[in-house]
Amino acid sequence: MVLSKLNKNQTAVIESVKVSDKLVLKRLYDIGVRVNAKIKVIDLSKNTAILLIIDGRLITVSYELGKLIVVKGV
Amino acid sequence: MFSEVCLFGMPNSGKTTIFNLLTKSNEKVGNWHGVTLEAKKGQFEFNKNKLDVYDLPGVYSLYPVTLEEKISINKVLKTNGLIVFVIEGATLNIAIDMVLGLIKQNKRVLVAVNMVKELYKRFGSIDFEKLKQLLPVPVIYGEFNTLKGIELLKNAIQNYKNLLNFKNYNTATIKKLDFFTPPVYKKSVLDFLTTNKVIGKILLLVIFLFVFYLAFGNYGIGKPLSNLIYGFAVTNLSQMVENWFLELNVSPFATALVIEGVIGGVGGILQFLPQTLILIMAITFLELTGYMARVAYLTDGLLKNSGINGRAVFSILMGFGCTAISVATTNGLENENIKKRATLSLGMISCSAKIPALMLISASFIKFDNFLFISLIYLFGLVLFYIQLTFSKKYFVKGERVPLIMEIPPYRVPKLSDFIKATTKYLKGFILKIITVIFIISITLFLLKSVSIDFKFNTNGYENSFLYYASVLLKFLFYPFNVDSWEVSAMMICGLFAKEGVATAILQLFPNGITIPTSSLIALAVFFYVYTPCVTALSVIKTSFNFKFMVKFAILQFLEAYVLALIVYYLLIYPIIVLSVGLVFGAIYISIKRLKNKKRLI
Repeated sequence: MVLSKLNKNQTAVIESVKVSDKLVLKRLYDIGVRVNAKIKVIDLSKNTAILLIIDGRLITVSYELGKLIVVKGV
Repeated sequence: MFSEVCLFGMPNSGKTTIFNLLTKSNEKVGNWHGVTLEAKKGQFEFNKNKLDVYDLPGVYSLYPVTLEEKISINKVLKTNGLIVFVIEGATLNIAIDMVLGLIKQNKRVLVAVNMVKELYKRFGSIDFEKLKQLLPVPVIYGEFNTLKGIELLKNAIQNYKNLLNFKNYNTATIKKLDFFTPPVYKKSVLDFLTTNKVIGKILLLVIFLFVFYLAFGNYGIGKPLSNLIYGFAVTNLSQMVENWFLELNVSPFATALVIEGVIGGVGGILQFLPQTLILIMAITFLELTGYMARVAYLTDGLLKNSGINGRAVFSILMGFGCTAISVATTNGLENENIKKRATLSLGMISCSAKIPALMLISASFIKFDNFLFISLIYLFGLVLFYIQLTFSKKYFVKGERVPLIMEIPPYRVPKLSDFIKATTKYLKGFILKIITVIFIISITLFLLKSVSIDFKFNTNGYENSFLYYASVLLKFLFYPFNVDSWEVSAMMICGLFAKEGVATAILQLFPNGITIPTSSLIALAVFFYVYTPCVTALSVIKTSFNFKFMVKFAILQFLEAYVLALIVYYLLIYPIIVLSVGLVFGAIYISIKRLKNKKRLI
């Protein structure tokens, strides 16, 4: 899972966003997920959504989709 | 100067608050994304003239995804008027793309940067002088939820031409966002507690149980107030009117009409106002603080296999108030299939109008605290909602769920005026319903039960009254529950017009309480809870979808209510037999499923 590349503080920079559903990708973009956006995961659980801070804004993303956010540059 | 003004921008940027202040309206506001789901029109005074103003649903980009976004974009692209682009300070970096998009299309735009104080509080900043230099359209900033802010906005609209500086602008320079420092998000203790996967869910349960206790508990606020209203509005008033009418020698028919039809039927419903009002006030408060968005996040995982995502939580919570409103909120869901799936299941959520009747039906068999009963009812509704969703996903509206992607707003202290306005709006709606629909149902019911087909009057009700003949044909429906009563079918017919109508019917047709066996009564409560919603909800469903879908919905809901009530009834009468039959059918179903899976693997 790509999110495991986060550092100890669960922070990273998004270098690319790879999502199969175009509409979902668009929504992610609209809501503020940008390449080079600073991301911090503040909650990750097996049966719920992920809570992320992307460039200072709190955003929730379903877990299945969270797997598809490619985070690099830790 | 302008033909109209459109309030446009990202969700939760404060457009509706501005609209309410400009037009002196009372449209719903809330601290979450997607409160406004349709364009609302109002008027405000401008240069001694009236100017039309539109409050548009929030959008994330000029390329719409959801249904309400399409409404906004279509309006903005067609308008020749002024577009007031309301931006929440913290999201300037995203909104600026849309501002540039509109300028490129030669639209007249006024940028209003809102909630600036909050941005500074969160260590973000905007260099407004630089922003004004870079943009070819006027920029104003401040707190537009205040009268001072509104005056600033009105002045800017009035002097729009003077504020314009026709200069060349450089998109690339603007997109560098040199003038903007985004806010820093620091997870507060409140956010930690309310979004924690274990503590957050426990807290959610505790909050709702607390609200229910306040409204329905023996030592809560709602019950004593309810008793007070009943004592005054029904018992004392009836006595006073009866004595007064006796003195004036008023006919027994008119006396009965006023006491039973008006005071008994209408006043009887009024007694439940404090309890439903507390429920609505609590939901409004939680909405305004921003807690509801956290609830969407917390419950998304629970809805994983149901075909919808956490966003539908808003519709469910609205459903606690009114089914018709909750169906209207499904416009904010991602696509038509999800919208249909959610709508098909929303009938399972108890609206506040069902509470009076449920309490009256249960009065004879519930010996414990009403709070427990109502909590169980809501829990039962949520379980049914989930089952219906899964069922709909499998058989009626197939398709996968869309993942939840949602911005969570910061916690905000609700403005007292917003809270009061929302509560007053509910109160007005309730009173209006009582003096119109409930009044008509109550009077009609009284006349139909008291006048026989040969037009003779009897205050105790006629076995050959109009109501008897209107309901008797349907009484066979309740034979399987061991109920042989035309009054019960009359009661259910009233519920089709308004759910409070059932309570009115109980008060008039069963003045000494419903005297049928407890098992039958429980089955009737289940039937009433699930069966076809009122005409208002059906008409909203028709508007949102089409007539065919509305009919399907109504029939499905009726059949489900009937089957469920039958199961409950026979489970109470013959528990061992029903459970055994259930187990056998379950085993057969699982075996068939396994066989099919095996065949597929081979």
